[in-house]
Amino acid sequence: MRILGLSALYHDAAAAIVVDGDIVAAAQEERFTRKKHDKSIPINAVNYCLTEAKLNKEDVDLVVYYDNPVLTLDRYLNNILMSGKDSKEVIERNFESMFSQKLWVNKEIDILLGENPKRKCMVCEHHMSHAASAFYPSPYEKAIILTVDGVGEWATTTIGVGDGKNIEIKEEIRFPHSLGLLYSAFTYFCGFKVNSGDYKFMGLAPYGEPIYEQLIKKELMDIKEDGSFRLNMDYFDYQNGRTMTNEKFACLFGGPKREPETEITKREMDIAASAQKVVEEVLVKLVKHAKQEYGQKIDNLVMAGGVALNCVANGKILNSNIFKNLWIQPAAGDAGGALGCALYATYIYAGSKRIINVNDSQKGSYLGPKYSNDEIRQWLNERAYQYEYYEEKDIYTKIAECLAQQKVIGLFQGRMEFGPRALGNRSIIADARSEEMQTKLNLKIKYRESFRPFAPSVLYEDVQNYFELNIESPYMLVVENVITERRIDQNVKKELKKYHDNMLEIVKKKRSDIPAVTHVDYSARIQTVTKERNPYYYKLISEFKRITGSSVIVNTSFNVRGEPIVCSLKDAYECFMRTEMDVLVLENCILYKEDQPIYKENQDWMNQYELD
Amino acid sequence: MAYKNNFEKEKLYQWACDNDDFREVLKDKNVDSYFEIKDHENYLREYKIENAKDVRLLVEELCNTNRRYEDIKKVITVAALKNRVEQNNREVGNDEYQEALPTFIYNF
Repeated sequence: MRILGLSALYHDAAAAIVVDGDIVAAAQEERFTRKKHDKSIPINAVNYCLTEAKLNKEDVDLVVYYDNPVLTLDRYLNNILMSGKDSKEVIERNFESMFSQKLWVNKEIDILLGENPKRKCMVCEHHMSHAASAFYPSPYEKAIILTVDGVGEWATTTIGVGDGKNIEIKEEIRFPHSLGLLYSAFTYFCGFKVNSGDYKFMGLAPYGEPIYEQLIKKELMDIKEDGSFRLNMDYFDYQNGRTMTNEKFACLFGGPKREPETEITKREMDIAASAQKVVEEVLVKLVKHAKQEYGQKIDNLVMAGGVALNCVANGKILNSNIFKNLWIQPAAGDAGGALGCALYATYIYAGSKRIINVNDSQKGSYLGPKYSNDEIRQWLNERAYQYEYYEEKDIYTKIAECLAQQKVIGLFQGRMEFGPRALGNRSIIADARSEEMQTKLNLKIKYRESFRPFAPSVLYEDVQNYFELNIESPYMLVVENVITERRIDQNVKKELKKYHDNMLEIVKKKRSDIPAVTHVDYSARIQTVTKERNPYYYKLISEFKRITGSSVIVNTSFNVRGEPIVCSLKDAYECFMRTEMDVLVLENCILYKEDQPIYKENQDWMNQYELD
Repeated sequence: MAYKNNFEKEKLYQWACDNDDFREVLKDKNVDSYFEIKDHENYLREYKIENAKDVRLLVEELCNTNRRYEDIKKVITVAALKNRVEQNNREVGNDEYQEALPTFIYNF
């Protein structure tokens, strides 16, 4: 059965096509429209998925939308009631999208694919979509499933059990009590963008001290021993459709919210450290409760939902050893819901056989478009862009040599990643040993001043030579420390004082012999690379190791700040030419900046992308 | 564009004001857990809203979950029908409600 899954109308619209249980393709709409977190009906992603599956629109048997509009309408109306005389903004903010697109989502699908009486349209509950995205592609026959996000219909957190083809959700926490919304509230209060700024907020935590932890637990939320919680809504305003937090919240933290792009003070660092600690505590308690209540004989935990992208918390869950094994859906946010709902219908409605792959069925999350060498050469020739073509036996050595010469390389090969992380196919790569690389990448390529380090890609067989990690982390969803032997002693607190809380000064300090990927607390967001999952990337890093002795490189997403990760050859070439990247690799073609024709910019690209 | 819904919005607001006692308060902290048990297992359902009859059925279903919705049954029905997505006046990608994502609040 050919099943198309869709997520749309909230944020991170995406499409996924599953044919008889095989995940054929999945992609986020933002990559095609170049609009970050695009929520519109994913026409481009759908067209791509159908092309990849060699299907016409009329060949689709079933379309599944990742959210149940009736339940969402119920929440919308309930929210209006809860807001009472304060409900004007709630009504205004969502009325049109609720009564038009969401309620008539089947008509939107008819417009997208054309009317077809043979095709069915189904809706799957939001958290079941997340749960399915976590369980079905995982390498486990049985697993405990934890989903945590902002909100989907009513649920904000669920605990379930997956067994073979079946998933049963056992317990849930409901709106407005939400760990995702709590984290978003802090993100907003500290001057970062809700949704896209959560990562920065998490990266800020190691600079601070968790001095507000008890205050958060005393005033903002009540956490039970089983990890369930309720928020004190006196401090939040999202229920009324206005902003995430209110004046009372500001008073609690000593003054108004930080305005975006202004100086980050010790207060924000301490809030980040405190919020992160509380989130970790809740998650570990939830996991412990799930194990005790439903998983006495189950060794596996799977996770999805936006909060599952908190890789620092994931590291804590891993190190708690409550479960032996952990698998997290790489597209853990709403985009992954498109895949989850399609998989749920595959097994529950279509009754397909579930075949478990020991390495998982996510295919490395390389589920997006790719270009052949022929297509690339034709594209480059048509534009008279200069390049050198290398045979398979030479290409990896050539790229590795460039890396060793401290070049910054845009790497565009294979199928585009599904999910927010670049995993070596749409990545900017560099030498992790360089002291200057972090600053160079930030200021000359990404055009940002960041207090966050970059993430490392490391050969799986060498991971323990660098990091305190003893499992595979193919999707860059776990944070662990650099091993002690490689660290250089630094006292963050003292340094902060010395530099008057200027993080940009202390982030430049060398903290290990792989400084470009070592955070101030010695942590790193690790991607392990194996030959099986990504042969091209594996061979490249192996060559770098042969030349330099190091099997770690910097891997950051191929984009500039605020831009979605590059999807097409055009996106890649534009990003290459607009920045101070030295080399662009398109499969077996290498382009050197100095050989390129003068690049004429026909738009104000610096303002093209809203800052995240 | 949105002015066409002003009457229904006003009715919803009036309804919210009339039911102001509904506001949720923090539950008794003496409970051991804030987990709620899922009350159904029907996570996947066919979804086909085509006409006024379908909308009425949907609204009936909704009213079964909360009796207070009875007061605004007609408002919900009219709002849904007024905002029906029509193939002949819409093109994919031409999304009249595709405003920029808000940066200050989670979009739910």
